[in-house]
Amino acid sequence: MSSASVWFFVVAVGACPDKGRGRRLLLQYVARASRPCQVMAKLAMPQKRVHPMPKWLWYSILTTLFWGAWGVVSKVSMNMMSPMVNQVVFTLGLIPLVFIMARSKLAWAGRDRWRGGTFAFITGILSGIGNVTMFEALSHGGKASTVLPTTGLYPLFTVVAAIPLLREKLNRVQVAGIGLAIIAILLFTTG
Amino acid sequence: MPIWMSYALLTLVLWGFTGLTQKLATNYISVEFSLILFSAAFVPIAVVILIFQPLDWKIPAMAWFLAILGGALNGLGVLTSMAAFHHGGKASVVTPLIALYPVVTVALAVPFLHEKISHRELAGIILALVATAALSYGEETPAGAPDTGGTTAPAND
Repeated sequence: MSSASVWFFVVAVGACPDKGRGRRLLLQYVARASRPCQVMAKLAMPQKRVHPMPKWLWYSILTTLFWGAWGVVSKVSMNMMSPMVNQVVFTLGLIPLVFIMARSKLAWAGRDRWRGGTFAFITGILSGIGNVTMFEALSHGGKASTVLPTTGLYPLFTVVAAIPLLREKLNRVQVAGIGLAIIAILLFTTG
Repeated sequence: MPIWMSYALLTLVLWGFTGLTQKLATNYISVEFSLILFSAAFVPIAVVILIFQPLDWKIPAMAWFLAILGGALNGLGVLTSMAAFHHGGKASVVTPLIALYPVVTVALAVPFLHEKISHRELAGIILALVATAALSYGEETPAGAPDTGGTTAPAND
């Protein structure tokens, strides 16, 4: 609605002998004329936030960034200290994780804490020793760009060992993965 | 076989075992409790190293920072991977996806560490990444199941 037409109606209403009817007409006109503006404004207003990517995908990408960056950080730190020292100091970085986990209400739930706890502790021991051997690989001339893809193949051992130990079966995709993993290792080894 | 590959394969076996023990652990306790004990296990390793290994502690402040940053990045990765599962991510999708973290390492190592990659190594890297995603691909697990499938990067999970 143009301002000129508004002024025209204001003047017309002012000249109207029935002031109440004139005011009603003016308000009706303004409301009708401004409807397209209201529609436009509604469209322009953020209705409901649209997430083009689900949260879980963001978190997954963040995970790859954190762990991927860790590989580079480890390689750089191997130029400044031994793998053993690195592992000792690395442990300090896990302290925040422990506090965050301990605050969770679900943390102390479980049906067999001793058995589960033993397996979790063994997991930590194996992972820690694995950290040291990975640091050794990086300090013995291994490039971050080849060591990390190789160590990242650890599901190869998991899925193969799970067949007799956990009586799990492989799917076709995993079988193909085993073949590709072996070829990849051969390419690194014979290069 | 180069010596670094021997260490890398040893790492692969050790971390591969953690895939089994982690799964067994979360059959009996929560993921949170398992991660607490998982982290606690790093303490005796550090103590054993301190007792039995002659260490050179003359290291620059930057080395301290990087080593602690390494641990923190690892821990953060564990938290975000758990958050991915918590926010509805399917294990069959999230696990293979986060297993691709070496892509980031390679992408950073070339420009920042000036590492050169031969054609053979490039082929190996691509095959290894595809293989990692394929190996991590599992059957669908019910929502809320403690399947962190490999949550640990390295340690993780």
